[in-house]
Order: sequence, then structure tokens, then C-alpha cells
Amino acid sequence: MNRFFLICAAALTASGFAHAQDKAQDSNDTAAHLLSAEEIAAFVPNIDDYPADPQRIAAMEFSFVGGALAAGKRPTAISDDGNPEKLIPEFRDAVGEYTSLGSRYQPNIESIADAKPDLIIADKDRHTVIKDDLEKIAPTLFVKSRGEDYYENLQAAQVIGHVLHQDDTMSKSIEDHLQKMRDARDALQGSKMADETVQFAVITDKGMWMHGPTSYAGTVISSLGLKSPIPEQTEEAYIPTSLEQLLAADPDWLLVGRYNDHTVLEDWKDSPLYQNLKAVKNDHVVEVDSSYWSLSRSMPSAERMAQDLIAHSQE
Amino acid sequence: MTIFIRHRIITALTLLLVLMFASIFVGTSDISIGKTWQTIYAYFHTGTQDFILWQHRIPRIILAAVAGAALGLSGALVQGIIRNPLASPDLMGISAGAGLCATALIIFLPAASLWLLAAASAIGGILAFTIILALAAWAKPTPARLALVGIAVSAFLSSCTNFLLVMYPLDINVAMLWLTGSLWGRGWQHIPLLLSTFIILFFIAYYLAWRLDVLGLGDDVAAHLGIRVTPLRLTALLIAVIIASLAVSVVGTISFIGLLAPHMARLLCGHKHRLILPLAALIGALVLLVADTTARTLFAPIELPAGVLTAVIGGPYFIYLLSRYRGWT
Repeated sequence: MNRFFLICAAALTASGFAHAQDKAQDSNDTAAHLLSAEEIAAFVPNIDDYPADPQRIAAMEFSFVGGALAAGKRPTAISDDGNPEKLIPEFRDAVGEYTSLGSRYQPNIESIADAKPDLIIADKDRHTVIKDDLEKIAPTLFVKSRGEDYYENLQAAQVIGHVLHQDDTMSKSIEDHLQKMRDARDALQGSKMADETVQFAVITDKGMWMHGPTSYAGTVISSLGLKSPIPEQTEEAYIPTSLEQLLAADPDWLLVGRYNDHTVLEDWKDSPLYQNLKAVKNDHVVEVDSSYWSLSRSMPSAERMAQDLIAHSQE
Repeated sequence: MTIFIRHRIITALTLLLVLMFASIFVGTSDISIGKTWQTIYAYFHTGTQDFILWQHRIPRIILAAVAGAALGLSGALVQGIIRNPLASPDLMGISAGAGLCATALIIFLPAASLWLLAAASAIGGILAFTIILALAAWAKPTPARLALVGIAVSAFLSSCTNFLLVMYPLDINVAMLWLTGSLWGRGWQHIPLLLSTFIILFFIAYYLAWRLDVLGLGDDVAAHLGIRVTPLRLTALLIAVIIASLAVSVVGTISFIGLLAPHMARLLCGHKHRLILPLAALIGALVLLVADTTARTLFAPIELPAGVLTAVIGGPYFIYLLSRYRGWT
């Protein structure tokens, strides 16, 4: 089965057919995915509607906190699901005091108005339904967050930098980040992991979701020149996974991000099927911090993911 | 006696208005009572609108009252016609059918207008209800069984909605709306259609009220007294389905209000539909208003969907009813 996947992967890579494979191929140069100055300007035709020097930014997703910080601005209000612990330490330290706007699914409109933002950054996917309300409160930028991949996250950061009138700061942040990622890539290419498949999955009490080749984690992994065990599964970013599906994918490395104390993984551990996984046999099932790997899509997270991978590749 | 009972309606109406007014002062944002007064006063004097009050709290309060009233009225009509104390829009598949059609429309026609959404919901409600009525006509179940048939069909339709949401991952908010019921992100634009339809249909229902009383004596008696039974049934059911579906198209599948409100109305004022209909609507409005105000303030800044709270109240009540009517024939 696995050989079949490898052949598929080889065929796909050779033909350069699949979109995700394209990205993986281009990923020698993440910079190639960045938007040009013209493209950024075209994304925000109404740049004059936004304040020139916003002081009170409301970030409605964790990825926007990363975007604002990379542009040298501290958000003053954040949708954190009512739990400051969900912010990665890098964000918490940099942001300091902030107002919680409730959950990212149903941000509290009164809290947003109360925070008196002069700029709101909202998720194009999730918050368009309250567009009218948001725009009555403050100029609002809608960019993609939920379901974005690594490259889209960098593009969103560029757009955020532009709207915050901090293009130069953002360019520098991205440049520094790309350099770190290039170094990480080189380190990984020199390790055994370069020839192995790496899969990240989220585990909860309800199930396992593999983050496929088009997800944020998947694209970070491929940008580092590492292989996915399921390169053809580009339909959805987050793939609900049974033990059988996990066995079919059979990655060399299984990185898991835990959302609950007791998860399906504990239930599976007694199963002989689970014991058959390559990653289990080689002791390559590794727990990683899900707030970096899945919650906070941002440059510091990608760097942390790269460091995690390097640490394990040297085991 | 009648005067006393009429007083109950006036009491309920007063209570509703008082609570609606009181809800203006409650919310995540800590606006002092004095400040709230000032903003209301300022609006009437200078026309300046404070966003939180005028664009968030007040429309939501009005919408909760109207949607709750719509569900209460619908429940009273359905129970009166089917003569089954366990019948209600959510147990008879109306909500689930409306929710399914609304979800399908949002998936395949994201730019659909509110009118179209309301129409699709109404069609869904009518279809689902027809299925259950057909099953009932075929199996002639006891009241408790009919409720179970309704729950089964509702569960099936909800799982279809779930399937759609899994196949075409929509926004989590939309999913929450159709599966739980919520007033989050709803505002002024959702009120006119629902309110105007409710007012028109309420008066039609009220006009039919005494006929519904006669129908309670049995079909034969009603027919001998000159009432055209079948058209009356169909008209009243159509009103019930349309008004519940419209409410669902705006606030999603909020459970148990359509069951609970008419029951309480009957407890308070017996069997006169002229009293049951307005009282059920008022109680429905009260319940949803309290549920939504609690939902948006209890764990602030986290908001709960209002449907979670109505389910918390309504679930146990429904189980109590089921146990009471066990063995009804």
C-alpha cells in the first residue's frame, strides 16, 4: 500500500500535476509565493478607508495577531475563545494587556464595539456574516484565516502589513523568517527525515484529524522539503481519520497535537492495528504543541514547527 | 372569570414589555443605567444612534420577541389542530425541514436574499410536515407515538443537514444556526419580513379561533355546526408551518418553544383559542427573550447559542410530558 503511495507521489511529482505537488516543488523558494507590491495594492483597493496609523487593532483570529505583530503593531483586542492560554507565549508576551472579544466563532459584538478599535481584522470565511456590524464599528479588513495554508498566511501577513502602513517592517519580518526557514530546511535535508514521510494530526476525545498536504501544517512540512504520506489527499485541509485510514497513510513520523487529556489515541493504543504502524514500531509518534501546530498560524509558529522537526530528526 | 383570564394576557404582555425594556440595560458592555437613558434620550432628541444599543441590543430584543412569538403561535395552532399535546413545530419536523432547505439554499446559492431564504424555509417546513402527516394518516399513532415519529423524521432531516454541512463545510456560525438556533449576527434587516408576516397570520389565526374551539368537540360535531373542517384544518396548519419556518429562516432551529409555550398557555387559560393563541405567542416571546438575553450575557464575552438554553429548559419538560401521556390513546 505504502509503496503504491510512494509511486503515486513520485508520479505526481514528476508530472507536476497536482496543485499541492506544485507547491511542494516550488517550495525550494517560498519567496516565489509572496505577493508583489502591485498584487498587494490590488487586494486592498480602498486603502484610503483605513487609518494611516491605527492604534487600537482588533484581531478576530490568532493568525491576525501574528500578522499585526510582524508589522510591529500590538493588537488591543483579540478573539481568544475566552482563554488567554490559547495564545502562544510569543504572542502573549508581545501583546501584553488586551481585551477578549469572546469566541472566534461568534465574537461578541458588544465587546468589539466596547474595545473602540480603529481597525478590525476579520476572517473572510467566518465573519462576513457580521460585516455590516463590524464596518459600523470601525474600518474592517477581511482576509483569509481559517483553512489557509502556509503561503496564504504569508500573503495575508503582507496584506495586513500594507493596511497597517507598515510594508517595510513586514517585508523585513518576512525576510528574517524566510532565512530561518531556509536554514531549517537545509538542516532537515541533511537528516534522515528527508527520506521519510511526516504527518501531523490533531487528536481530541472525538477523533483524529490529519492535517493534509493543503493544510497549514502540511504546507509548512512540504516547504521544509519533507514528504507527506498522503500527497494525493488535497480535497480537504483537515481529514477526519479512523485507525484504518491512519494505517493506510502509515507515515514514518506521526506528530500529534492534543486537544484533550483523553483522546482517541489512548483508545487505539491497545489495538494490534495501531502496533503495526511504522511510526509506532520506530517510536516515531511524537506529541507536539497544538497551539503552534494548528491554532496560531503565523511566522513564529512555522519557525517553532521547523525547530520541533529538527529536534526529532536528530533523535 | 373571563375578565380575570383576560388579565393574564395583559399581565403577560406587560411582563414582556417590561423585560424587553429591561434587556436593553443588560449586556456584555458595561453601560450604566444612567448612560443607557442618556443614549435613548439622545436618539429621540438629536437622532444620534449609539451602536451597541441601537444596532445590537434593541434589534436583537425585538427579534427574540417576534421569533419566540411566531414559534409559540405555531405550536398552539399545531396542537389545536392535531389535538395532540406533544405536537409542536420542532417535534413535527417543521423546524428541521425548514433548516434543511435553508442550509441547502445557503450552500448552493450563497447570495440568496432573505426573502428567498424565507421561501425555501417555508417549502422545507411544508414538505417535512406533509411527510409526518402522511405517516400519521397511515399509522394512526397515539399522541406519544406521533411525537416519536416526528422526532424520528426531525432527526433524519437534521442528519441530512449535518451531512450537507460536512460535505460542504460552511462557516461554523451557519452550522450553529441551523443545528442549534442562535440570534448572533442577526439585526434590523431580519425583522420586517418576520414581523409583518407574523402580524398578518396572527390576525387570520385569531379570526379562526372560535372555529378551532368547535373543532375541539370532534370533527362530526363541528361539521354539523356548519364548519368546513378540512379547509379550516389546512388553513390553520399552513399558518403554523409558514410562521414557524420563517422564524427558523432567521434564528435557526430553536427547540422546545413551540411545545412549551402553548402548554403553559393552556395551563393558564384552559381551552379557548381566542386566549390560547395570544398567550402562547406572548409566552414564546418571553421564553426566547430570556433565553437570548441570558445567552449573550451569562458567560460574557463568550456567547452561547440561544437554542442551547431553550433546550436546557425544554428537554426535561418534554420528558415530563412524555411520562404523563404514556399510554394515551
